[in-house]
Amino acid sequence: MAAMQQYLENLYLEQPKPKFIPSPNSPQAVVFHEKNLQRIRVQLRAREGRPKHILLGTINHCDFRVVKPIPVHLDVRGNTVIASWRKIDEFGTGASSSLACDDLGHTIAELYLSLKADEPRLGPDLARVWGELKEHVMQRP
Amino acid sequence: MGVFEKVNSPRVPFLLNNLGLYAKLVEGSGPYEMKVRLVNLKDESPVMEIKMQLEWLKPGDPLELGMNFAGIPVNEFGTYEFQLYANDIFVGRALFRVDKLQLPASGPVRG
Repeated sequence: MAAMQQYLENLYLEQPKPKFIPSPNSPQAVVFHEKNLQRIRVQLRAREGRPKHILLGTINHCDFRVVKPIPVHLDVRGNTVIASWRKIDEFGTGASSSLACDDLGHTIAELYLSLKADEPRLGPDLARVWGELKEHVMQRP
Repeated sequence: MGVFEKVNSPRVPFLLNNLGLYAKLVEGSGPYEMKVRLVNLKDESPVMEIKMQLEWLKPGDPLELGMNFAGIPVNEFGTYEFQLYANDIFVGRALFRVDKLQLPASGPVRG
């Protein structure tokens, strides 16, 4: 009910028009006006694909909350996307960026629990990783 | 974040009309620039993008976002993904499939 109240308060928002993006294979037409034609400059549309970096604001694990966006680097090897958090040297893989980020999220959750359990015995490298994890992710009470 | 999971069409390309997207966000407050991208999951090439400003008024309450789209160009069968970003931070996704609808072969009527 509370959510509905907030929704109603936001009802005045008008939905902007979406921008449709032509597919990379669609023809890019050029019209020539022969009379005035002296010089023509054609700019080809750059192919847009998956981004190389994203900021991850959620991990696919209900026990954890992302408190600071996680910088994720996306790479492609064949049909597999690799999502890596380079600062802590962890990665996830999947058939798409989102699936790779989901996999990375599971890795982060497991690593968090494991480092939390071993916190008093962590060496300097793992202590640094633990510090980085705690800065970005927290476990829900 | 949710959307219909499957769309059937006898052919492509076609324009997809009346697609609704719903997202429920929690644990936020203040102004946000929300971005919704639709990508073809085959190569994650973008099909559509929309941006909007909104104000999260009550931090303790969830924020519900509803959007309706008309005329989305679908050029291929396959899986498509809506991606939701808040201030350029990826926060959620929803998938739908576009499948080929096999129409029954027409033949002589037997009676």
